[in-house]
Amino acid sequence: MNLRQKLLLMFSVTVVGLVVAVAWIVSLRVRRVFEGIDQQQTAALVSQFQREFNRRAEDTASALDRMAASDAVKQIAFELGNGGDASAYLQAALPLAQEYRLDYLELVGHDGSIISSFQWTARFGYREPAIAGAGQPAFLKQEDLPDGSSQIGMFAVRTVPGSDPPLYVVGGRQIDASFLRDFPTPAGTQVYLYRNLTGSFDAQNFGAAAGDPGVARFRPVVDEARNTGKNATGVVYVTRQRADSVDASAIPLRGLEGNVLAVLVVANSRRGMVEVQAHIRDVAFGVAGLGIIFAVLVSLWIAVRVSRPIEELARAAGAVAAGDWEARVDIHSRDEVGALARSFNNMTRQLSEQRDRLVQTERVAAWRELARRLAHELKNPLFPLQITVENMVRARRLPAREFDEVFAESTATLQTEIANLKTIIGRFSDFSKMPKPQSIEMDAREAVWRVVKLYSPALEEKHIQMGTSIGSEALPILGDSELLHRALSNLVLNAMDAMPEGGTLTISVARAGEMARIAIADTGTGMTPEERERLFTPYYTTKQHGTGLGLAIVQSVIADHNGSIAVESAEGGGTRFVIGLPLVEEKIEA
Amino acid sequence: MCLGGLLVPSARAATWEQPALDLARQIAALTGPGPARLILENASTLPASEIPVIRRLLEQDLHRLGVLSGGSDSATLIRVTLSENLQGGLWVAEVQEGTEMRVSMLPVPLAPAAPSGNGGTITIRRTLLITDDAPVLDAKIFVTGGVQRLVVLEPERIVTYERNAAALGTSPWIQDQSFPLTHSRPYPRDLRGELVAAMDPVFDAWLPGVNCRGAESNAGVGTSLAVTCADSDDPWPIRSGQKAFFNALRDNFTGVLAPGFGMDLPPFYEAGELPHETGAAMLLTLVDGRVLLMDAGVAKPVAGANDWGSDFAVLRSGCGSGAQVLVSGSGAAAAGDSLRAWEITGREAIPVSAPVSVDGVVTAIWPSTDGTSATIVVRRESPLRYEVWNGSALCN
Amino acid sequence: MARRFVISAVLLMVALGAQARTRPHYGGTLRIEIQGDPWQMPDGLARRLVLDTLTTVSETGIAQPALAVRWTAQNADHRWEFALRSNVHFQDGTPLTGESVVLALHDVCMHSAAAPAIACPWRTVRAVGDSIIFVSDAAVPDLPALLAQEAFAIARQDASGAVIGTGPFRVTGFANGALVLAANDDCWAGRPFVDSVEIHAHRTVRDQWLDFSVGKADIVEVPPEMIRQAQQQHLNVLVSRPVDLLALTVAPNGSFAGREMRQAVALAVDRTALSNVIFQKQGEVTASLLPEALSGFSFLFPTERNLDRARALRGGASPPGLILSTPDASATMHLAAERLALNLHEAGFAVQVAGTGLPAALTLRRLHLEAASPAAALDEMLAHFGQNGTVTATDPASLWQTERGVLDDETIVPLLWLPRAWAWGERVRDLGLSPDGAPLLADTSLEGAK
Repeated sequence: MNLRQKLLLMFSVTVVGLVVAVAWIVSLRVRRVFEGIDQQQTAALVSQFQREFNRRAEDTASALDRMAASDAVKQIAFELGNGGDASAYLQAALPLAQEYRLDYLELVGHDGSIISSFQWTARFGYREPAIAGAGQPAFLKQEDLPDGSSQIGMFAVRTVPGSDPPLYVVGGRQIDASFLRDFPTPAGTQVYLYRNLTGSFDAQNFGAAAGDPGVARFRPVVDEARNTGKNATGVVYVTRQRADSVDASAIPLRGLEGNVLAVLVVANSRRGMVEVQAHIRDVAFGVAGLGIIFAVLVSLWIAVRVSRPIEELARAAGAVAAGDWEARVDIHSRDEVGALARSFNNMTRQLSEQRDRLVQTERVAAWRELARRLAHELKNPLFPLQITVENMVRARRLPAREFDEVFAESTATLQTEIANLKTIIGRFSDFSKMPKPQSIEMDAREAVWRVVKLYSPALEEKHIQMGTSIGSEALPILGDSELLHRALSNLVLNAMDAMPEGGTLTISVARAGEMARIAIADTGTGMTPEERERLFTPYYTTKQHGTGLGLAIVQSVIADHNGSIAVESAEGGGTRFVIGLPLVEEKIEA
Repeated sequence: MCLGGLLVPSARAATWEQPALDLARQIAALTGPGPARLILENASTLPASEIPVIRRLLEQDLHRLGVLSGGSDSATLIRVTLSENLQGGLWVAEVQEGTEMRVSMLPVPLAPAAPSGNGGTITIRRTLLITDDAPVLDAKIFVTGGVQRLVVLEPERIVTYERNAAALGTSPWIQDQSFPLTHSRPYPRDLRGELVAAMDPVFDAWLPGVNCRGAESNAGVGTSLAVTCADSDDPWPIRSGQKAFFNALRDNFTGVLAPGFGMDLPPFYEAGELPHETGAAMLLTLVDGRVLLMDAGVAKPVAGANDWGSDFAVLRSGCGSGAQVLVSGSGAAAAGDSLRAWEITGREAIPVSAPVSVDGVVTAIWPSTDGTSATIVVRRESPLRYEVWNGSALCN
Repeated sequence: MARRFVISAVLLMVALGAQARTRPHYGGTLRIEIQGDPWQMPDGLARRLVLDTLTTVSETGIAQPALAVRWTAQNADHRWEFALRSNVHFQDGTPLTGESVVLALHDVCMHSAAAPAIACPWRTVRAVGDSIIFVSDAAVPDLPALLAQEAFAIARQDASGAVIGTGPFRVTGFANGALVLAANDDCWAGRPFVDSVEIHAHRTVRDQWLDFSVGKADIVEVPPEMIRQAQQQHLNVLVSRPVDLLALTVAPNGSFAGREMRQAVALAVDRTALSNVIFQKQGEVTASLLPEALSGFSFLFPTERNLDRARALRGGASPPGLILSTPDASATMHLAAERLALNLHEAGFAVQVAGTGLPAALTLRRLHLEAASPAAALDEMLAHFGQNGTVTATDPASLWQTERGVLDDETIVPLLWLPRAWAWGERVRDLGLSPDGAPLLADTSLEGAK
């Protein structure tokens, strides 16, 4: 990943993060605001329901008051008080309940036994403990019904005025779906009644609403209200859809003895709020998306702005590294990058100058080395030549014969030494006259085979064992076979020189990726790191009679073939030269 | 004022002796001799006054059979319940020894209930002539050959009764003869029939579609009666020498009289001759409920007769205007039908007696042969029986 | 017990007495409304009016002549000979003969194969001239009384399939939704007073009372529980003696396979509350298959409730899902069933009242009693429970032994004896009731008719 990408990524992540954070904060804030409003609305609804509930309780109590004071009931009380037969009033509750629109009505005698029951006619004669609540405000009561079910009702108990013995009317209205249906319920608000008929939560106790699959999810608030006897609130997710959630308020409804008989559940739909939230979120996300795109573009622009000089710097640095010491970058700004570019330009300029100076120095040093070599090489034959000439001068005083002898010997010596000089001069001449390779497509293995064949006899004489590893796979290269042969020969000769006492020479050639790799290894004395450092320096040699040009020639040849050469050596551990030559796969395939 | 009635002897010890003995025997057979505790309960309509009598008899009989009923702490409990059913009394003895319970039962005839004849001061005298299980249409006393006979007309027969001439008025009537009635056509559902005195034969019996003649017969030992019947559509004799045709299907007189008054009458149930100073008027109870007085060929509706029944009889009592009309009418609802004497003054019916309850349904009122009294047939329920009374009006 | 009967009789007398002052008028159409079917077997109202029986029974249960005028028993009540009344004709003019009677009785017995409640107590019946001879394998001492039951009414069918009898009315058809019967002028017992009778069948009591109140009906039914109300409204009410038995039957299997469990049920029921409240003191509390007034020994069967004993007999067992059903769909019967369920609930039985669709362990039934003699009545009641021919003697002790033997099994829990009652309008006169509570319309007349 390049710098621009990194910058882009960094900028994008930063911007996206910021946008998301802002959107989340906005969403959270909006949500809290809406929830606050929603809770206020729910609380208002609950309050309204409680007022309505209380109003209906008062209605029920009022109906009982009116009924107790009615002539019909007073007449019954009068007749009962005067020894009337209670059984005659078995059905008396029916018309009264219908007249006063009550779901439950019982006429109860002074001993608490039911005289007439509207809801369960057959219960006459049984006790009705609710008369303990005579005169009190309306209260809730659980009422058992003939079909085995139980219902919750809003009851009031009144004593018929003037009745002696007292006659009670116990009446009420059923609290069920129809009771709740008449509540002023705003749209989106549902009211449920959970009848606390069983020990554990049972959705069936929601009565007619039990078929609604969502009511079972009210269990937490209902249970809390049932167990604590206090209002409980909570968000209830009716389905997995967040919009199908409600703010549920569970209001425990208590009986005459304080026990929780029912729980009124006011469920205020959060759909509107959730939808507004979702809308805001969508808008936020849309804005964020656009922001992100914009941010990416901006980041891209910034990255380009920021990275372009650096890239130019990098490219220039690369050019410098590749040897283009003249590489420069344009300076577009006065900021740090501009300073960096100026510094780079200064650096490259200085490097160029230093290189020039180094080249100059090296050239001088090379010339000095050359001079030293030449001096050294030339001085060696010159000294015998000087001695011989001086001998011949002195021999002129000698007899002729002796002079002749000395002369003959001296000329022979002169010739020899002159021949040496020629040889030395030829070598330098050869180095200077290294030709450009005439590359043709050839198999790298052929060059190796040619060297192996050439030097096998000589190696045997010097008690050096030959090891070869040449694969069957063709290794086509573009090369000059003579130059390569000469380079490889130099390496083989160096190896032979490194193993005067014999050893093992291993030559191998194989494919290494896109390269043909030729390795020549000996088991000689090896090299020190310093020697390895200067190994390919011209005119550097560790041999007493070496010119120091052999490996320089090898390196030159390999470089001319776009190859590479490396040395691996440790002192006393032998030396291994590895040559890499680029393969020409495509041409072979062609 | 005089109350006429028949006193039924109270059920006394003699009535219960045999049932008590029978039950005691049954109990003794269950318990064997020994002490026992006796509980007697009355669950019947027997009057409470009878219970100590029955208890005493039972205890005596049980004691004679070895069952000592005095032991209040005895393990043997004898619970006797004097029950009854539709057929009569049923005495049930439960013998409990420990947890074992054995039961014995004895059907006992119910004592005849005393007829109600009381009523305080009344102006109508009633005398029970006879009680019959079968419906009675009419009953009258005829004297033939010095023999007083009570002839009772039933739907399917005519029965004659006689009683001991030496104890007239006190001895019961004993059935003498019975003559089946034959009729080819069905009777109407509300069957009526009347016995009418005749010179020869002794009486005529008129029923819907049937006429029977009862005449003296000397075929047997002493004087007896012979009755012959035949289908007949002849008009029935009513008062004032008039005869009226009877609708055998509708159980009323058609309104056609013979010889008649020269005018058509509406259908009527009963007709009676009401004497007055200048002659006699005919009183009619019409089918439509009105009461009509035919006098000198003029029909006048009678006012104040709304409560009249269909049957009446004119009694020549000599009291008041000389004749009263004995009419069945509405009394107190719970007491059943009642009888009341009325006089007709002008066009108005005026009650001249207090109503007398008859504890039943008056099914027929026919004037006696001499016109001074009337035969009253009352149907009583539980058990169903017909009582024949002779009613007359007494002057205050 | 007897007091109830006395009250009924008094009411009867009151009804008769208040109307018997004038002779009955002929004519008019009597309109009566009923809940049931007029042709229902065996005692539909139309059947009673169209058909006659060989005998009738008096209020005391004594057989009375009807189509048969006399009878004799032979061979220790194994053979009975009934002499037919002469000069009796069916409503189509066909004379009543011994053969026609035998044919009709054969039809009854064949029908009884499908309706087991009607069992013919003879092996053969044949006609010899005007005599009908019954021969049975077992003694039938109460055959004359049995033959008075409507099940043994003599009927024949004409070519169109219509039912023809010798009774006071004949069928003429339907008019305005009512079955119309016309008076039979040639009825052997006399032409009925009214010209016709209109029977509006399948009318609810509420509708009957409504029609009655607006003068559209002359006679309507008064259920026992409404007698009191009717009297308070000063309606003319005619109340029969107890003729309907309210009984709980316990299926002797499942939860109640054991007698003690059934006995627990019998001890748990509160008859007094049923009688006093639900049936407004019109019922006779009973544990017997016969009314006290009929048998005189019903008090021997205890009626007291013993809840503690019931619980002890139940022994802690709590049979689940017990169903109490009643084939009678009336609200009162349902109420009675609910009350019984409450009673049983107190004793620890979880009983639920349900319709007749479910298999019920307990069934509340209302059974009608037609017979008026103890033996025939016990025979009839036992036949209701599928026990025919159990009664072979007529003395009270034997009847009690027989009844006790049946009730000891505790599968039948008699509860109440109830009367039947009718309200009659002002223009109705001389309305009487048969011993089993049916209105005697042939003897009834209408005020204002000519």
